[in-house]
Amino acid sequence: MSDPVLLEVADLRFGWPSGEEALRGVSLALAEGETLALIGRNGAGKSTLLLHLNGILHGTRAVRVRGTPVEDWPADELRATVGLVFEDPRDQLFMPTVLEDVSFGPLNLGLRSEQARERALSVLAGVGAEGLADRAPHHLSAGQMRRVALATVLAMEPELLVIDEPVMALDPEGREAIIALLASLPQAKIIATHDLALVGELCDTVAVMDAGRIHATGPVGEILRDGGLLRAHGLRAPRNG
Amino acid sequence: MLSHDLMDAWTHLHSPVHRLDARVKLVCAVVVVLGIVMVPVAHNDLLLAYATLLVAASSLSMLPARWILGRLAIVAPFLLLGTVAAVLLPSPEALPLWVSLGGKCLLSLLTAVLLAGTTTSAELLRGAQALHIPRTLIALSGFAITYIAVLADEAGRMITAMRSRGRVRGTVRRLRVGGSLIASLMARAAERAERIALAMVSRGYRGTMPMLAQERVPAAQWAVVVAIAAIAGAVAWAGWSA
Repeated sequence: MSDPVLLEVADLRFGWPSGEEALRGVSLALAEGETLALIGRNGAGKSTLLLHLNGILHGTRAVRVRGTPVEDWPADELRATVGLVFEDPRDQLFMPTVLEDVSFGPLNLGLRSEQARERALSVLAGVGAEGLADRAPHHLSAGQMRRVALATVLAMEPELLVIDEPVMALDPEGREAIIALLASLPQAKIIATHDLALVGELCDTVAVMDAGRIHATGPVGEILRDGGLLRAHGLRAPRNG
Repeated sequence: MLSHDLMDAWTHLHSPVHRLDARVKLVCAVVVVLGIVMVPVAHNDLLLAYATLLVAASSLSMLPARWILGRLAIVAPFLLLGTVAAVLLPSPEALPLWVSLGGKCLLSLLTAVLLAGTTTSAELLRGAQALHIPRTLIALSGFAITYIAVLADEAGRMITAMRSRGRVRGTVRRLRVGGSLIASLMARAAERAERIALAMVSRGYRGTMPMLAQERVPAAQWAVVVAIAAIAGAVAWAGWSA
């Protein structure tokens, strides 16, 4: 693949103020259009790594988006380029209606009200949530919340989608629908998950993370077949994978 | 879901009151409450005009009477205590004063209940925005409305989990368990607030809540405001000119 590098993380280290070392030299790269799975046991540092990718946590100049350290990006542009979808959609959906929530990002980017509304409605239609515009986000089902949470980020037209546990707490039908939706999106993606069946269906490459380090990176088939590697890092290969 | 019982329970109905724009209803509610509090103590009978207006609006709204009464019950202890005190006090002014205070309290609450019962919380917030209530206040109210529901659901799940592990015996133990439940809920709320802040910053939040522009209120609906204002004006005139 000769796709240009979209994201590069080189020897990223991070410790919480409590002294706990969360990231101990993480390195990875992502090309345009690629989908990378970040897998690892609870507490491996996946979510902490994701917060570095759009500059929420920063300061080490170890993360580069399109060759520029995140610290040098104007905050608005970076947040629009790298869209972060949080694990719990109830944390992501805070406005009184779905339409206002999806418009929140575009309005912050400086779009006029009418443009933001049009973009929000078009993105909602794109994720199959066009009928939910006037609903209160906290009255939606888990699957609907996931779609809308994704729409809030897609409305900022990101080049890279960073998604934390996209199918957590969904029933099989909802899970399938979200996987199909994610597969239809053209953006490059980093998906942090424990769901290795999802990884097999959606991802090109996999990075195995444990104790703040990347322990292995490779094509999805190769990593998911390595039962020993998965077991060593608290994971289990999918039964039919 | 517990949160559905807390708010927006009957806002899906299609009554004439439900169909009014939130901005119109907000202005009407403010006018009515101002009118109610302006009724002089010496003319308590004028409160009947507002009572008639509000009962008619309640009937038009198709809200279940039981639901309305349930919401009004929140002032029952206060009314009961005040009534007993007013009857027992030797002063001849105590009873009219209490009728005025209690009546105004009850009617103002009924106004608020009608407004909240026929308008979704989202419409109310948008209406407040259009009426130029400060954005920070609207944003804070929006967060409160959204996350009270989430916290109520969380509290409901914790209570169910607690009950499913047997009955808590003894007052002291019940108080202790209740205290830890509240502490746990507050800790979860603080953690959630932190995650929400991160989600907001991730979508470009820089300290000002952006809001979508709204459509204009149909001119015909403002006629309702004019009618309500006329009634309030007539009642005020009757009260203060006598």
